[in-house]
Amino acid sequence: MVVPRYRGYTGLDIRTQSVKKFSVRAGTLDGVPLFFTTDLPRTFLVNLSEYAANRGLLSKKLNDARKTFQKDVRVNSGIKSSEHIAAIINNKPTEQVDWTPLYKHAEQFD
Amino acid sequence: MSDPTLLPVDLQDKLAESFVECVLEVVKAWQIPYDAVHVSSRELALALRECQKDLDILLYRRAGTLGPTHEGFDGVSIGKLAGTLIFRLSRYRIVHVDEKAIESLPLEIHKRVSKLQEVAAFRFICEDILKIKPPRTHPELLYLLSRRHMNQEMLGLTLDVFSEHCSRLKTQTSVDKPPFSTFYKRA
Repeated sequence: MVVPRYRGYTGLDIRTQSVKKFSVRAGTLDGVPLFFTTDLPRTFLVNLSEYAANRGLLSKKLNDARKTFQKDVRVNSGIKSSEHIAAIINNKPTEQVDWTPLYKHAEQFD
Repeated sequence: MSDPTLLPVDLQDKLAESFVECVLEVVKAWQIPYDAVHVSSRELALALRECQKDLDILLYRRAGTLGPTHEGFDGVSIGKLAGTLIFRLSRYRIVHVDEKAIESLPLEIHKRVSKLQEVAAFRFICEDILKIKPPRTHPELLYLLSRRHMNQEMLGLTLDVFSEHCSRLKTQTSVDKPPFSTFYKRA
């Protein structure tokens, strides 16, 4: 959590629909935790005024971000080659299964 | 040396043969005359070619620029393989039944026949890919496949869950032994 640089600001309290001064300290807004995108390292943030002053900044920041990308996706896994799929298809079941319940279900809806 | 694709043509032929064997088993169980059923080899080949694309794209997404031979690449899951296959095998117009040839059969058989391809695809992926007994949640999935919609991603994830939780079929080589133990994980 990044501590905001400022200690307070004036805005509309959507709960009471009244303008009030909020206190912002240590990542909370009036005691409620804030989940700002500022949780990201600041190196990925492009401030619009800085961007307006330096159009080349965006490309540099994008490259900074790309350096942090993972090269692979980690999800459910296992099969790495066509040989694996061939082994799976060749490893035939040796027991018979009763498919009648599924067949019956197929006739229970149009 | 591994093939650069997960599903080369000779493997597509093996899968096609196993799928048509399942169609045959279902037709036999439903006592439909074999003469009344036709399988479009063109549609079947198209469906499997599309599976090849799907799986190779999955492979690329998983392995990225490292390539599938990199030691950091974990592979594609059994549910994703099954999901890709059942999606394509239930979408292409592969199995055709001559209504005239079965007009004397009871209404129940006509109702079944309208889902013949999806039922066969189901049986195929359960027996030949996932090696599981039909789970109790199957009927709902059959309805989704034949009458509604489920995308490949959700099918893959659902079948990963089936693979982890359903009763396993006995197979020629136990799926608890390598290399199968890598593909078939239990919850």
